[in-house]
Amino acid sequence: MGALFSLMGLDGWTKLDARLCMVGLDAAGKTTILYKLKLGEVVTTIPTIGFNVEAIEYGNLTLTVWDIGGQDKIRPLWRHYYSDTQGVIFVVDSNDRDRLSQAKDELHGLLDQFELRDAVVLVYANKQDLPNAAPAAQLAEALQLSSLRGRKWYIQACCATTGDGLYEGLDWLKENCPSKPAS
Amino acid sequence: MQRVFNPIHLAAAAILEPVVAATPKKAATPVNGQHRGPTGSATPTGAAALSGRLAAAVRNGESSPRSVLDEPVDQPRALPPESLLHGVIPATMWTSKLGTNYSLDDIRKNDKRAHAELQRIRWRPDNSRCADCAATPTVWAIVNHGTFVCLRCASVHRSLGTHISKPKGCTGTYLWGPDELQAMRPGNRAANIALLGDSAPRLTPDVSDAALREHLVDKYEKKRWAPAVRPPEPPDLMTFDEPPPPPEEDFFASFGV
Repeated sequence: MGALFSLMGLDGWTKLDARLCMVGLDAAGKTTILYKLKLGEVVTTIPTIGFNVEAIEYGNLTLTVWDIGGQDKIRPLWRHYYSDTQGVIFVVDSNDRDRLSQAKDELHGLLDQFELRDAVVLVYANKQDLPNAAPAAQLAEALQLSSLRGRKWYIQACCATTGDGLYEGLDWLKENCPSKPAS
Repeated sequence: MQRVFNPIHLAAAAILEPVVAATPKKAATPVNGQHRGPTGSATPTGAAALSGRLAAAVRNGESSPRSVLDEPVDQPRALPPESLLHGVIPATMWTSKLGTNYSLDDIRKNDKRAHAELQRIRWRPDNSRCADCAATPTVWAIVNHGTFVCLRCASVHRSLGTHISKPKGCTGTYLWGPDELQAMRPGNRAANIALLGDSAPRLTPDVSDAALREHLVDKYEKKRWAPAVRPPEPPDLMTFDEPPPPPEEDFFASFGV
């Protein structure tokens, strides 16, 4: 149907929905990204225990983004949010080089989940403003993204507090995330 | 948009949800398809324990991981079909925020005791007020500085970057390693002697957001008030109301691990 609308020049007109899970290690910046996208401003966040959910409108696409807390012992709860998810936003603190291998383990662990077999992956390489931030290419290597066979992924450098890079990530999602007509 | 019907998916769905008695029409059983776990209450540790044992079995060269998977586990969780595994073995090690590696199983097993130890340190009188703004309660810890702080200050610390502050919650949402507990033992008073000296202003809980942030940047990032040469810590700082703690290497030994 998407192709049909596309042929008819209506693809900018149809309302589309997608459901996304935003996960990552603790203090990666997930909640800050969520509210920067939703409100356009930097809010003072407190550590998330549980989740935040917001509907973010981007063009004709409405993204329902579930931002799920990333502290050690609440990470096993992520899987309860996976059903009917079309995409994963994985947020990495680019400045926290010591924990990149932990981030890699978590990312690959979640992509092994059956319910996410068709989900696309957007990696936000956040906190690029900090002094020791790893560039996106280096992060892609550390996270072993090239080993993700048969999966659409994209890594976008960003800074949640200024908003740099966030919308470039959404642009990729808009093109690549499977969406369905709004009900 | 449309999900294509695929018997492998159907088979795997039946494994992931053993309660649903959907019989796969074809014998396209993926690897470990025989596993049926008990449908008991879900505890987060079950899945990881399973992954750990599977990895151990693979390391030990067992021909098939079936024997491990047939053991009863707390929570049913089949491994994903072979097609979805891409050669990354599930993590069996856990790294503390101070960079020490531990066995994930050991850390999980000792979680209750580690938290009991953490609370014992946190409830000492010198740790009852936030090391930065003197508010209560002190529900977070900055492990690389050894300070207990309030939720509001912890939020600011999280935004400074991990090269300056490594915050962790004390209320049970984090795993704690022996090295981190050891780092918390000196307490707020000792940490503030090292970071603030005598001359620095002390904040009160009604400080504004902007002033708080500025103070924390001065205190932790610029080390504005830290004495040029840190005075040696007085040995009696660790003996407020109890005998000195055992050395670090004995921490897990005392648990009988």
